[in-house]
Amino acid sequence: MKVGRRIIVNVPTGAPDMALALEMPLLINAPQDDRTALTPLIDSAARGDKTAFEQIMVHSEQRVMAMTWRMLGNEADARDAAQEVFLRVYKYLGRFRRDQDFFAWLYGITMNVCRDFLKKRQTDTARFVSFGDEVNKSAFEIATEEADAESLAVRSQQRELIAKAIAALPFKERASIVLRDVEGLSTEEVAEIMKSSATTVRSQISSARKKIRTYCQQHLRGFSGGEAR
Amino acid sequence: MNCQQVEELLPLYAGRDLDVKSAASVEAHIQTCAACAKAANEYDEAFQLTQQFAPPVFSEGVYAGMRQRVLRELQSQQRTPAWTQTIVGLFRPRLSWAVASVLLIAVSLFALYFVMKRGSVRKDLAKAASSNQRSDPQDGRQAAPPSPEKRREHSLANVHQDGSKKRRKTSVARMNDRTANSQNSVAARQQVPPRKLSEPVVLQPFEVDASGETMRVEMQTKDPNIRIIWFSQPNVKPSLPNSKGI
Repeated sequence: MKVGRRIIVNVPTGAPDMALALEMPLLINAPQDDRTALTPLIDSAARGDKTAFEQIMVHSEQRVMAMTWRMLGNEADARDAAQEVFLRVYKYLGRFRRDQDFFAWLYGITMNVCRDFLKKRQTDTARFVSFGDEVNKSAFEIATEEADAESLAVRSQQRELIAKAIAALPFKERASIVLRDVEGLSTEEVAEIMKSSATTVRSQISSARKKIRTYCQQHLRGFSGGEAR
Repeated sequence: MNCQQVEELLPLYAGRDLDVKSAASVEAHIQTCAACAKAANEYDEAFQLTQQFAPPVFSEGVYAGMRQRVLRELQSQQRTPAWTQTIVGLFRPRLSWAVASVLLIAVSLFALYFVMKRGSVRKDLAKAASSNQRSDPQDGRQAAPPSPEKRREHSLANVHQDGSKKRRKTSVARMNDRTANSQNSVAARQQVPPRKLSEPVVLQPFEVDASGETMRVEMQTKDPNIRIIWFSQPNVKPSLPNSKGI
């Protein structure tokens, strides 16, 4: 989801009861004020304040759910993983160093949880559920700024294609590409989260992008500016 | 730069992950090579599609439910006493903790085994020493039970007599025969450091029962490895208690 992109959501009753402007600014690149706003909440939650911890969850749940969904491929697993992420956050909040970036630390925990989930499933690839199923389940109709239905269908198909391509990647390549290309983190930040070196991360990103390109070539007719199959 | 080298660098070039020099070289090459330019376009498109990889929109109900479950789980963890959590935590699959616990238990068991063995060896030595008091393998005689009316508090030795009837006197210093029961004396030597020759030996006082027969007298020094044995004629009284030295 691009930063600043506005999505209008119509509820099933028909009346536009709410218009959600979904913006997911990256706190890592955010002004210092946003990050420091979490500091008192973190301090309180570390002392056992559940209300403060709930506030931390509200601030970060969308980010965590998005990450777990991208890594695991379906809502059920993403929800379970996100729950486990917050349980671990509460447990290890005392170990969080105040000079660290909170969201980088949070991403690290999220990656570990996703890895454990996949180990339990004894697989390395995500169990991707088609976008169509997920959208129908929530019963929302999403209208983007591009009102053209055909363009919408093409974009939807492309999104699904990319989701499948990323789901097919091995865990480390998938994590690197999501953190680097989707979340927009630098190679060094990704290396810190993955507990790896920048060279290794670059190598994983390169390999992931090659595979995604190959997948798109095979499944998108007229790939490279052409129409979708 | 040739096409093969550029092909390897294109994935990183598409995501602006190359250094300035390498990026410039790739840029220069794709300006002149149509195949590499096409590949660069494909990588660029795939990169843009990846950037737009968005999850579905989850409802507020999903998030609220997740928060409630997390808070409920935290409350139930709080209700569990801390010591049970500690014990449960010990058994969670963490290799380093498991290995450390196993090592600690193994070391404790070894230490306990050695301590108990040492205690039992000492008991064996004491038993052997007391059994030597009753039997003398050299002349094959059994020691007579002590006379109750003449027993003192610190009796340690027997007086052996040639002949059939034996009477044991109390408060006689006892010496272990070096040649009798070699195992015990070896064990005793291992346990007790050897006495220096310069150190005087204090002999305990003793009484002699003169019954007209040749007597075998044994005296035990403080050093369990040293025992004085002599045979004396009747009516001959041995040294008085104040004598010293061997």
